[in-house]
Amino acid sequence: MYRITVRGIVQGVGFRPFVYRLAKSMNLKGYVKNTGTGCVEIVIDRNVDEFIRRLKEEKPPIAEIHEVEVEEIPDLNFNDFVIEKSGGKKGGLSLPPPDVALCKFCLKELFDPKNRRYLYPFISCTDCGPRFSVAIKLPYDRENTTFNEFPLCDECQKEYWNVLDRRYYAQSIACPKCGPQYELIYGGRIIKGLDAIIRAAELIDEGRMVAIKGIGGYHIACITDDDVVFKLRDKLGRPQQPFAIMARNLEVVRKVAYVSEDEEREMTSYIRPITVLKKRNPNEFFAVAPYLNTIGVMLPYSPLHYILFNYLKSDFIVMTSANKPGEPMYIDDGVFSLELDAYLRHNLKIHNRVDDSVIKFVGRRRLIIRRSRGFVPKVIELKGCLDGLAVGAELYNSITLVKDGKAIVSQYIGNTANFKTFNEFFKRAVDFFTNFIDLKPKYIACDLHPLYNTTNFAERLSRKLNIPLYKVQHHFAHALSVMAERGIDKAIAITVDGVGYGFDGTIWGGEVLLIDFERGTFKRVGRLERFRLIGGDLATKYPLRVLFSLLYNAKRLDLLDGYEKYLRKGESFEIFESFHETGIATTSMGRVLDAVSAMLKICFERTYEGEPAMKLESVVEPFECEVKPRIDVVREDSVYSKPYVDEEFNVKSGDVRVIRISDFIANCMEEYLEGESKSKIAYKVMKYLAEGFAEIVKDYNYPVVASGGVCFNSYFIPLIEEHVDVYVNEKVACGDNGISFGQAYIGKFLNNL
Amino acid sequence: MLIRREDGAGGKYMAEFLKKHIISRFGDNRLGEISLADMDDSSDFDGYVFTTDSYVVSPPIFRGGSIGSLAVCGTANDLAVMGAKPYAMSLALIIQEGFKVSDFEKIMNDVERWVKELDVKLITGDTKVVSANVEIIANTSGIGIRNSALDHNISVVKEYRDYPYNWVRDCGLREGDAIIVSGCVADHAVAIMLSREFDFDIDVQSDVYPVWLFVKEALEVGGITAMKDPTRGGLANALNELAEKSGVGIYIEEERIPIREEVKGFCEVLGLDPLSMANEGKVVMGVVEDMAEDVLKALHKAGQKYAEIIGYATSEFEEVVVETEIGTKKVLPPPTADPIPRVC
Ligand SMILES: [Fe+3]
Ligand SMILES: [Mg+2]
Ligand SMILES: [Zn+2]
Ligand SMILES: [Zn+2]
Repeated sequence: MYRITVRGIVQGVGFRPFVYRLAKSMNLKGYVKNTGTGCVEIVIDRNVDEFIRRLKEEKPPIAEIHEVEVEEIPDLNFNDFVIEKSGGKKGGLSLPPPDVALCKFCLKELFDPKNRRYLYPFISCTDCGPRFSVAIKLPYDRENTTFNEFPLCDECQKEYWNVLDRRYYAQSIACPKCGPQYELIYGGRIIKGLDAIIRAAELIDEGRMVAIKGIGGYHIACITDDDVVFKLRDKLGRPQQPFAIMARNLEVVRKVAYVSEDEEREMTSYIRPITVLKKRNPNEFFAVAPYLNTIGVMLPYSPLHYILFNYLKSDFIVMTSANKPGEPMYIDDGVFSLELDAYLRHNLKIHNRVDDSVIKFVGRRRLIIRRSRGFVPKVIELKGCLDGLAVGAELYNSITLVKDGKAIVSQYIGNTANFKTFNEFFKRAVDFFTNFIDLKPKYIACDLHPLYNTTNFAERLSRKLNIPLYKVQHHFAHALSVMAERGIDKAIAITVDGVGYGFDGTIWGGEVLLIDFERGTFKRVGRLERFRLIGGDLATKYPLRVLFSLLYNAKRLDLLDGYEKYLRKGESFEIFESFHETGIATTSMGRVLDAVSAMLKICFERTYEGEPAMKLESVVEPFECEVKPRIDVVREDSVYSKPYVDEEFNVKSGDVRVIRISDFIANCMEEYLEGESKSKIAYKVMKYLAEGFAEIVKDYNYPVVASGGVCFNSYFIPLIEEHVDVYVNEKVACGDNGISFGQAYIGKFLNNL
Repeated sequence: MLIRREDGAGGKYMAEFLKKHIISRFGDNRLGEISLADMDDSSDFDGYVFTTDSYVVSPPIFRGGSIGSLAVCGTANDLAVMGAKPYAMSLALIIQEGFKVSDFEKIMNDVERWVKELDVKLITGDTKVVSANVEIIANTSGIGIRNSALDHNISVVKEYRDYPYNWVRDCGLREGDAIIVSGCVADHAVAIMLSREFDFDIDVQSDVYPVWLFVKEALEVGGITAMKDPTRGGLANALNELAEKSGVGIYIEEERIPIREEVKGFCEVLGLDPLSMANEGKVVMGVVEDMAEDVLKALHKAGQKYAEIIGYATSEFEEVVVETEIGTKKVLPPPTADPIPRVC
């Protein structure tokens, strides 16, 4: 006989019944059971190779097999194959799966008039349906989810307990008789059942804005016509930020955007993320994604979406999360404060808010912009890492918990500078997850920035729990987030983004860091030329200020003649000059791209994160050209005892290679003013920066990793890869949504340092 | 490691620095109810409060005052926010060799003016002339005394709840107390900046002023539970200290905070937060809810016409939260020293 131990995501995903059905079909004898440590143990009498092959090939869609261990054991007597009761003591980490898009079997039933769940928006099975969003506590059983308010009817009971049924032990099982229902609140009336959805579809087609409660929270849906979308923009106070759209199916998406095989695979996966696609015609969907050549598209993922499209005339609808800017998405009747035209809501409580995930392909590389629905709470292995809690930075935030060598990165939390997001989402997520997995953290990791709410929160919590606090420098954390994914402890890292508080009290954002835990080496070996942020955060909002600083460095302020008209009321270049010195110094690559965006008259005001750089990216057109980055060597404080600050932290001086940018930017501006095209200048800038970084990292005999929001740029990393291979984040976001994961990785080295 | 500028800049870093090097040694020293570790504005003994403060400002003579007015008012204000009447004072000066006598005279005129106005006695002092590049540094220590206004105030507070303190403490704030600020914020910091390099065409004077002159009137109404003078780190620092030491949260409505239009405009262009900028003649106080309107009226009557109720203390959260004019809420963190960009 053989004992097979399967590790991975194998509990709570219908794995045992699948094994049961497989073994039965192969006429095997033995048993299958969950172990107390999160594995599945299978004993069979023969045919082990074929069994394991089919195990891997036919496994349930959300199950993940990480390791299979086979061991020969003495023969035992079995007459049959059985599912045994879960054995052993409770232990290990056994989490519910993420929320899963409607599976193809349920989809078929949904539109089968003879099926008892015909057009029922809460149809689901063992392989699909709400999971994490409804989980209240562990173990993941129906009574510990918000489905506990819906006792099963007799028919559902039968399915639930029948091992051969595809709804066997499916916690989200429901039917029109016993499950949750939708209703539409419109014009002071309440419409129930299917009519609610039909009416909502009509209203959307008519150009109304309808709030729709889904799996992880409320969306706002409306048609994509410019006038309707601009009305929505006014209402939400989001003048330019792109909205995601939902498309009827892949065929209609192809008509308006390019979809590669990779993109198709992701878009149709059970995660169904918003995928940033290249528009066929950049001027289409203008109001949805103004001045961008890309558009975020997702396909229907909940039964409701399919029913809705069944009645909608429109092939595309705006599907944006329902919230005020910076605030968390509504999950309850708070949504009424948005004063929309109608509200389509249901009575299943959402316990954990989950936003739609967002991904983007750069070449064949999948980058996660927002890691949420479909990803969370999948664990990421962090072997050897001490149990701890990392609270992230500020924007696009998430938290990471480490327990038993596994990391759980929370859902996207968002802008923790906003008090509502901080108080009602961030703090709650910390509470929820620590209780959920019963974490007793041995340390807390946070950002080095002294003003972040998350930093102050971490300081309080570490005092309360009396455990050490480590303030991880932002860009070291970015670098660590890639290293953690790969399990490596040394790397040369390119970390490029908008803002991170540096060890020297300046703002970093265009760094090359050398990290080697074995040798205890933590160095900033390269960086961009420093320039000043005139008026601090104002320079981020109004990129012309950054352009001014760069030209100031280049002593070419004369180039600004003619740009006065883009200044705000009360501003003048003379004022900028007189307090230029008071601006805090920075090496932020995000700000350099902002400045170029202003230089090319693409964007003078940032109304959402990344706007100037994203609009700049949209005009880039590659062409043959040569650039020669100028790199100087300076000696300055740049050798750190650790990647984080604690009691014993110290700094020494070392050589740093500095990529000069101001002269190059001034030259570009001169060319632009003499008539060179925006697309070419924009490309040249990307190339110059990429070559500069490549030049620095290629001399090191270390794996090259890259992280930070600038990595989302379609040109930067590919241009570096013309010279050296680069690892970028694959499992978490390379932007600040992945920062907490990088912070947590210090837990692996706390003992050795 | 070297001492950094932030270690003495009055913000979060300075608090950490002091805790590590000074409070750790002398923190439990006390003569009355207030210890060094309490880091209140003054400390008490035998019915008196005692405080000391040093003054460095560049330029030493600025729009609306000088280091002389700061030295007297600043120390007197640390006494006044305890509810104490400024009583006696010392003055120590460190002057750079070559400092102009005419400027020194101007500074002494300011000292004389405010000492008289306050009716405080300057009874001891010291002067050194050095070659180090310091222009002029002043230190004053002050002694304040109990008075009937303070006693009345505390008896009024006690009508509403327990108040286990003999002075107005910065840990006395409780849920529901109204937060009053006595006038327009950030004037001092802006005036100093304008007195330096910036060529801005606006007229803003330092607000340097001895707050006892109006605090006394407010105490006579009664109901004040906590007080601070929002100097370095501004309103943001004062509110955070009140909140933290009292163990409550504070909720503030931004549009109720009095700020001069020209100050607002100046800060807007420079990207400065007026709530983190220094004042030298303002008080922020917690007042039992029922007495807040009366205290406010007394402040108006005492010449503080921009005094305003800007929010209240709450137990719903532990931060200082500001609701902005467009309705979003943000945390007002304890300032560090210099404004640091945070936007990604
Ligand atoms: Fe970042
Ligand atoms: Mg003081
Ligand atoms: Zn299904
Ligand atoms: Zn049922």
